Amino acid sequence: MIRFSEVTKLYPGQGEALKSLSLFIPAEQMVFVTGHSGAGKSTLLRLIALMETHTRGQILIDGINIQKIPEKHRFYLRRQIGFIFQDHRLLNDRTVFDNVALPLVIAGFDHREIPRRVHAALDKVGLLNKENKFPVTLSSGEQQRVGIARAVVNRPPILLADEPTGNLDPELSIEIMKLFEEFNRIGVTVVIATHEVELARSTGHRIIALKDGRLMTPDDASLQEHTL
Amino acid sequence: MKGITKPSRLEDKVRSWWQTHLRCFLTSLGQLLRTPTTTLLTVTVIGIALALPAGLILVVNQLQTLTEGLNTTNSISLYFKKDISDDHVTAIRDKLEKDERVNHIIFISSDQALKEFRELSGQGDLIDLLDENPLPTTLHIVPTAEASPKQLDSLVRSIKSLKGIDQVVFDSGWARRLQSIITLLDRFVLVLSALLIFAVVLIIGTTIRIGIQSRLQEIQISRLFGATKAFIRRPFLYSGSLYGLIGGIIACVLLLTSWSLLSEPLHELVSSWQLSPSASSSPLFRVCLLVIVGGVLLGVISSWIAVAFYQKELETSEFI
Ligand SMILES: Nc1ncnc2c1ncn2[C@@H]1O[C@H](COP(=O)(O)OP(=O)(O)O)[C@@H](O)[C@H]1O
Ligand SMILES: [Mg+2]
Repeated sequence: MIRFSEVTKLYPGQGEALKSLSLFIPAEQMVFVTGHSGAGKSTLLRLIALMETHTRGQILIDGINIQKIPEKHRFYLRRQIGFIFQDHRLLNDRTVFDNVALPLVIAGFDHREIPRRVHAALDKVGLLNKENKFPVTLSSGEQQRVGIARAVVNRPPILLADEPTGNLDPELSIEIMKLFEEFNRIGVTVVIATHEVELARSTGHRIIALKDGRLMTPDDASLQEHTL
Repeated sequence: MKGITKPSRLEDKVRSWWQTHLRCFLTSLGQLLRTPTTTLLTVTVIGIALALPAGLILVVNQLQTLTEGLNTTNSISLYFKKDISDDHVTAIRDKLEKDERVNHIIFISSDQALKEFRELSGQGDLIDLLDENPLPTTLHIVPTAEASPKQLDSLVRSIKSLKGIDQVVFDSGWARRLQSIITLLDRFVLVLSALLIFAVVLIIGTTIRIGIQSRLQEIQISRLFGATKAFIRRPFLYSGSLYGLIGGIIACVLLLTSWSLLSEPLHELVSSWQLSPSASSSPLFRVCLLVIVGGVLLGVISSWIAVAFYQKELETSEFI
């Protein structure tokens, strides 16, 4: 469950990326955040992922006010969130296997457990045969899928993806969306930021449309929030 | 699936601890080996910076043991006035022998002195011409090796205040000068050591900082996926201690090499001065151990500082 209550994010010198934004994403939901470039989609995801701190308002994740979590305990919440970048952000000096294993190593998994989980995640994205390759030798679509495998290997309850299909052709994009739907089906909350409104609409999932840091249309789920 | 083969939680924890650290160590080692030239340069500089104070400490240590041998040749000579009675001399001798600064006392009566002089000089006839013995009764006081120059000074002063003394000769000028030179050298080595240790901290700290900068993305990604501060710090602590360890080993090689070059002339010097051959190599091994352990400690401390500085920045800065 993710709840924003009048959240404002101010970038000094850049103005407000989010303006008193309120929204509610229930657990196990799959939602798209759409809007033009600069609408604040990335900012929204980065706030949830604790990559940045908001200026005003309140963000609750599973009922916990994330601003109240001291820095030294934040790692715990971060382990509950898988993040997928548009530009993959893979570590180029490590193999596909080691890239995907990173969240497990961080969480201190047993070394016998790690290959099992990494293989399961790579199998899921169809890259089991590339585990010993280095990211630069893979295509953009494959790199994106390695990024997805890395984000889900730890089986986090929340998955955030920032323009995951930004560099991919339509066919690959649909494939990736199907992958996210599979994760959502097993109970993962999925939030995908994309400027491709058509693609988002075609999936039939909820859409949160942003414009200049505000909700473009009053969102029914966030209205619902106030009556809850 | 719960079975009897399921290991205990503690066992699991210990294993995962070992795995984490072993992985970290190997990764750090791999990273050092990936840039062999830079690594070699860095550890050589660290090695020299560690070997220099260690070598000087060794030299000062050797000088000190050598001059300990010299201390026993320091003696205080006490010349009595002509008209002094033997009882008086014996009383003073007995009193001084009880002094804790005094090791032993050699008593030479005026007759004995004259006899010795006669034998040594071969000028018996000349001495016969004298109608009285010109040589005084003498006490040679040999202080203990532990007695400090200050204590000896006060001993000399108290002797001078005794009755019936003609002259007190404390032939310690050059020995004391040597002592004070060694003390000065000791201080100098201390200051130099502090400076060089500081330099080692800066070298390792800077190297680690460069390492942090080149692995910024990895750190950010790790942090995003929930790495603790300790997790991020750990590989850098390992790199830092590896730099210290290898630097320490290089310092030891330098020390052992210079020692083998120096030990022969040193032994010659020692035997030509008829000093006890105290130039043993046991302090060398102790210093080598100290250099290696110290190197590792310095590595850990300096990388800790470097990472702490960076993490302070990280906390307030935003993700890239
Ligand atoms: N790190 C940053 N520093 C300053 N301004 C930023 C930063 N990130 C985003 N912004 C600004 O915030 C606004 C929203 O950006 P962003 O969330 O990236 O939009 P989107 O992802 O929808 O394209 C933009 O005007 C952008 O210039
Ligand atoms: Mg964006």
